[in-house]
Amino acid sequence: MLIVSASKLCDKGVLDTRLSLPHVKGVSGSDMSKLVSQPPFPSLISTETAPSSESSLSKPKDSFTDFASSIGEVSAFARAVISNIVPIEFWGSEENKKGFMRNVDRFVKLRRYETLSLHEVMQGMKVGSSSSVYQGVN
Amino acid sequence: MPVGRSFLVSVIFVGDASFPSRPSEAHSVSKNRSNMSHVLDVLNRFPNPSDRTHVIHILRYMFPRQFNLHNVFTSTVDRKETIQPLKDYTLREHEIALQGGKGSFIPKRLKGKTFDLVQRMMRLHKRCSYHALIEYYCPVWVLFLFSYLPFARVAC
Repeated sequence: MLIVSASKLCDKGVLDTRLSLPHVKGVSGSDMSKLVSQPPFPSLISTETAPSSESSLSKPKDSFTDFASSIGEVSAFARAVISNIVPIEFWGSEENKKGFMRNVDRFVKLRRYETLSLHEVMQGMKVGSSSSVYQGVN
Repeated sequence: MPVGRSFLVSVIFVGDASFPSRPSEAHSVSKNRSNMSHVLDVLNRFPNPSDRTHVIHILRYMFPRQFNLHNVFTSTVDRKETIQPLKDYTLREHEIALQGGKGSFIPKRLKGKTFDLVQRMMRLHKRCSYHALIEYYCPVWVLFLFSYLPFARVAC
């Protein structure tokens, strides 16, 4: 399979919590009540009252999988390469190309032991159109 | 073997057959194969679109049945060669060399339009900047790494 090793140094979910922490800490309780009409979220209260929980939050994860690209990014890259390299005449029509790209996405997102057969990929493909070069060619 | 609807179900797209399931092993395998990876693609082994023999070689990989080479439709898989459901077609050089003697032969169906399209595909492959694409679609978030550090958080 393509490029699972393309690295990404942090996932966005972790990042958002880290970035929001200093802002939360900078605002005192009275300011909070002026700015926010709703009662504060329980997690915000706990970070202000208990400083020990902050250190556990700021500990970086150093798992190998954290540095990998997400499946969506890999799929987008694969589709970009295919649409850059394969001329449009090979697909026969824009619909065929769209259908194939959907299958590329499916293939990248397959989990272990899941398979994609040629029969599934050929669903919805039209090979009889006049612009197709695949008439009778395997 | 006849090509029918039921047969198409048994043709399965196999991912990288040598790709192991555990990430730690994947890392070591990618390191070992990094020197080889550009040769594994036939478009890199035969890169010249104006060379007729190069184009024919790519055609052999794309349409093996037209050249009577081993293919998923009519050939049987030798169980001594692979444990995968289908044969690995990454390198066909040995098979093509065994066939021999047909250096400039092109099947009738592949002459003309298909030949030109494959030539164009080779040209597009040569021109395509894969590095720019991977930078765009799979970016490396270097800045966010520093948001963990204390001084970066003060700067925020």
